[in-house]
Amino acid sequence: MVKFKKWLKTIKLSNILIAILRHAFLLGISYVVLFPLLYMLSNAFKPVDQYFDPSVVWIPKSLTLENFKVVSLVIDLGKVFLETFLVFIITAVISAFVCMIVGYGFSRSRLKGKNIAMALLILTIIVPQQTISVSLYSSFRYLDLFGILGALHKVIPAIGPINLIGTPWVTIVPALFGVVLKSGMFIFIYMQFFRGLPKELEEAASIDGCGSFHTFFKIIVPTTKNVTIAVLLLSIVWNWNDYYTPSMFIRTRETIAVALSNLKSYLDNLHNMGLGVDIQTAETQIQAGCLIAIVPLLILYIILQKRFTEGIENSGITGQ
Amino acid sequence: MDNINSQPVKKKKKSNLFKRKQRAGYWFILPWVIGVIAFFLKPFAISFWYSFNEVIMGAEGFESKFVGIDNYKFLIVQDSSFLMNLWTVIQNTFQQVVICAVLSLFISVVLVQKFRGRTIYRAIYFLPVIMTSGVVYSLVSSVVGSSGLSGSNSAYMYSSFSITQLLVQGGVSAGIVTEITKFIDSIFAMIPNCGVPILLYISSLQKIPNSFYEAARVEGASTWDIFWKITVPKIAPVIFLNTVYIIVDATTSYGSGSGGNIMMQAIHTMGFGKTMQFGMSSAMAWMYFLAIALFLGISYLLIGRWAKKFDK
Repeated sequence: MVKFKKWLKTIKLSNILIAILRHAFLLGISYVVLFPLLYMLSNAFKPVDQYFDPSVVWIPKSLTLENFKVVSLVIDLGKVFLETFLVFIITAVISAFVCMIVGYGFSRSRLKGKNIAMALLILTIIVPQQTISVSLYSSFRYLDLFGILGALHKVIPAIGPINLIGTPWVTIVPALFGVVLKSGMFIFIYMQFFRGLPKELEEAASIDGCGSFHTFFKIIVPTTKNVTIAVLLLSIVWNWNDYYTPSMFIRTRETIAVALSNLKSYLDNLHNMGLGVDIQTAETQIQAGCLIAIVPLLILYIILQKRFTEGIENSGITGQ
Repeated sequence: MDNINSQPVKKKKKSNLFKRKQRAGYWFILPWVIGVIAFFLKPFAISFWYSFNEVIMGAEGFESKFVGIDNYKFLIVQDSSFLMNLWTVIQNTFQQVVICAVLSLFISVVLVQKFRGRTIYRAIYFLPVIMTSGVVYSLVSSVVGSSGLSGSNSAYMYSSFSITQLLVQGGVSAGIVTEITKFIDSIFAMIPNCGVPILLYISSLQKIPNSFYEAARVEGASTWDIFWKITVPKIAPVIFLNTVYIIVDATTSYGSGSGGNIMMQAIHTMGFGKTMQFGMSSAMAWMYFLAIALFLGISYLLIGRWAKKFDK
């Protein structure tokens, strides 16, 4: 009892008040942030009729997997995930790795024309994709590698410009050169990270007779662990969710984002064939589709969350 | 003797090292330079050229006919929707920059304090990055945003209807109420875009040494003073960084459906919709890009130069 009184004395009323206010504020915003997820979770497992039941708000009276079944009826999930993986996960991984190399080059060398390169880097970040997509389309449609293939075409008619449209190479080839979705930003993140890395590390390696490339792979790459996790996560997420590139350049292959944006019309077709429910009432099925699309990313985020935040915080992107 | 001899040798070695590093630097950047020329600069220049042409897709690639500034003239003088869309996007971007930058700073200042459960909050607050960048979000938000929902799930969270009623009944004039509710609604819509800015703010707030605050408190500074005199100058570069990030994010993310950026969609439809007017589409894209550049330039003049004062 005496102990309790003592403990009570140490707590100030104002502190409690601040704590309550703080949690009220943070919880309120958490609700806004989590709303889409909660909405998906609530509806995806809900039988269709309960969606219109006014007595059911968040927690369904009964759970069902029917919605997922309908979604898997209209979207070939295995194929879509495989396509997404083929096109975008590979792209994301390659892009992260190439950006690391380029970011290192940017941070370590006092090159001639570095300012021009920096200006270019910033330009790649701020120019909207649409500005270049028309002509990018034509250079993918008739890829001739700076005119080499076109010149060869005159000699050997069998070899001509290659058509990359509709193949995964549309993103993989630019990824190999570090010029895909948001790669400018990744290069920037890596550059800032390497700037904070002590130069003595490489000097020591170099005195021991290590070449630049050897130093990079043996000494520099292991230090980037957390930043690389952060960049990889962002890169995977952005590529996974990207709707524009696949709908523009890879129209024949269906990635998860494209499939999802077509889900409504698929469900509509299904209804016209006499199956499923009217599109007006298909909300629970759409939410089930959303949930399927987002669960892999959520799992990835939950696993990597701690390293991810550490990676960004130690990247030095915000200055030292 | 040894000392004198070793001096020049050391120097020579260093300069060799320097040169070697410089050369290696070229090798590290080379793939990117090739890539940027092939997949960025070339299309960028071509699209500039296209914007002065009438372009049609032929069998052997694009065929273009020079028309001068006709495309631009058409967009500015005749096409009534273009400038309006552009203006809407600029307004939205401005709104997003102001609300996001301030709101995420506020949230970060709260989150950076030491209290129980802050790691969970941080994990939650970054979640939107995963959800909002794609089709998923536009599907969810199209439901959430639509007011004509008949289901029990009409997302009353996003509608400020009850607040409106309360204020109107309380005697506040309708004009002011709509302004207030518009503002509140936009805050809800903006929060999902605050993930990255919050992360950057937190990371820079954590780097302010605690001794600064202690010293200020010993001198008798109030929390308010400390915020403006220590915190804000210390994170000024990040405020600018976040401003740039939010502008770029708001102007270049495509989205789909109702959640998207109307300007980006207009450019896309002009080029790849039924009209297939690649030249006009390029002209639109270039004007849009110039508007973004102007926007960024102004924000540099206003915030970047202010931030530079503290960056030492």
